[in-house]
Amino acid sequence: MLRDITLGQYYPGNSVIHRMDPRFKIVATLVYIVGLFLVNQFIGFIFPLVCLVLAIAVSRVPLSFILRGMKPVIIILVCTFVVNIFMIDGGEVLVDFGFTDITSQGLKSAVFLASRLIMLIVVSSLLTYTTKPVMLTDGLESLLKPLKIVGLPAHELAMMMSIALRFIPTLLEETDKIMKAQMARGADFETGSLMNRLRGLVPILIPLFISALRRAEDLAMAMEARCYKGGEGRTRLHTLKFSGRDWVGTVIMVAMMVGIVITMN
Amino acid sequence: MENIVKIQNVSFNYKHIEESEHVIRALEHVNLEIEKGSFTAIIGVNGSGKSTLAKHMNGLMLPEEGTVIVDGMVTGADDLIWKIRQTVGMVFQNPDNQMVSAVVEDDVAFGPENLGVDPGEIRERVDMSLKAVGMYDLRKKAPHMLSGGQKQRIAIAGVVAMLPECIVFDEPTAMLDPQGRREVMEIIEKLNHENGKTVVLITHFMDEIAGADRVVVMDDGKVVMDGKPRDIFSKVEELKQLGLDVPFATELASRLRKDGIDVPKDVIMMEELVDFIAEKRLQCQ
Repeated sequence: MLRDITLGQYYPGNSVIHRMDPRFKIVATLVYIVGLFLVNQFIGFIFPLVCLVLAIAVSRVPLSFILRGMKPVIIILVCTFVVNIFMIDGGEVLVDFGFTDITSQGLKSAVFLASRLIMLIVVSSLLTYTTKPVMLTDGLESLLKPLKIVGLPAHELAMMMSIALRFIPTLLEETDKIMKAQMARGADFETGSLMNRLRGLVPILIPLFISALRRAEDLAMAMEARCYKGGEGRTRLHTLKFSGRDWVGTVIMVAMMVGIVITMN
Repeated sequence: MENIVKIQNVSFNYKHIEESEHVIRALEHVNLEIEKGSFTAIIGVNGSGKSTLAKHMNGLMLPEEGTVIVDGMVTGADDLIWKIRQTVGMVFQNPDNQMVSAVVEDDVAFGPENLGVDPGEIRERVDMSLKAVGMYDLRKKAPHMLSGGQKQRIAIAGVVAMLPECIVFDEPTAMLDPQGRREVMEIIEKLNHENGKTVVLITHFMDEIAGADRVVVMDDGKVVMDGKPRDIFSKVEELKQLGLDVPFATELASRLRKDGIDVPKDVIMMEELVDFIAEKRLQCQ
């Protein structure tokens, strides 16, 4: 079940987008999202849409892969659409149900919000599709470094994230093993009331936590044995480099923002 | 010969609860010197103190009594601890629990990164270490896609990349299948013979100590035997009393001896025993 979710996964590739500096990609994604919220009429969506289509085409991530990633968020999309279509009144009445109606204004704003949300989800998933988790944490660490002055532990946060990423498959495997072991002893996770099913999770979670704590202790020992002493004086194998393609990207992003601002009313 | 690690009169206790009376004696006045370039195996049953002793060799644990000196540096001095850990690297039992990164080569780079080595040199060291353990082709893979033996080889590469003088292996094969054990043992022997690393191997598999120069047997926090593998193997009865298994060939030779067949004392390994029996048969015919 967990394996079906493509949202947030990495799609291996070697395109220009894949090779961009993760710092640029993170900042560009944030700028893009800000841009989406600045747009206040349909015409303004042209610029982010063109950028998105361009980015997807260049990244060579298949459209089917991206669409599959949308699956888990479809419910949220439908909900916002429905709420908007019925709640917002104004303009002429298109369909009248008696107790409620669909107005042209409501339809417009529902479509507007849905397009904003879809683009937002696609662009942020494109970031994770084209950037290795390791690069993402490296980029975040580098971006957050200036915030150290105000006491933000940038290195520690990035380290925690990369260790978490490293241990996700290990702990998934372990959960699977524990579930099978408990099932072999007659545990039932699939039937009964919601309460019963929740109670059934206890014999999975307790061994999982104990083992995770034990792993944490082992890992701390191994890290110390390999001279880990925090971010101070640490060098990196991969140094991040802002290169030509990132400058091209910057220009495109600036152009997009200018376009959005001009079409605002 | 120069000694890389000197353990002098070291004692250590585990306390279950702080300040409780109930203590478990892990090490009791242990004296041990590890010669540079040597291959020392330390064996003993669970709870004999062998792992605790290993963790004293690079300052992961500090002695309550006595001193540990690594390459002239006393463990416990704050300013020398990182130099000590760089000099004596350590590989642990569970390969999964000592990997930091989700990419093989990044994991190997972790040690040099911590030491503040230049990026260019980190690259060289990572490539060199991965080639030394035969994992260069898998450098871009994720650790969870690899077998136990492969993961343990990556862990070894991670230590080798720090350019240590000495590597302590704390039961490195305990969680591996026979194939993985063989792979890891080959690498350990290669590191000692070809790369000249001092090796300390903690294990409870008797067949892994045959390649060592020296075997130290521990029991109840004390060193009870110390000598060449041959000398240790010949003391079958004592080893059994300590709860240790003896390799099949050694056991058989000892039983034959008991039944009055004159098996020479130096017949210990499988091949030697096979030769001896074949010869004996020829004589009988």
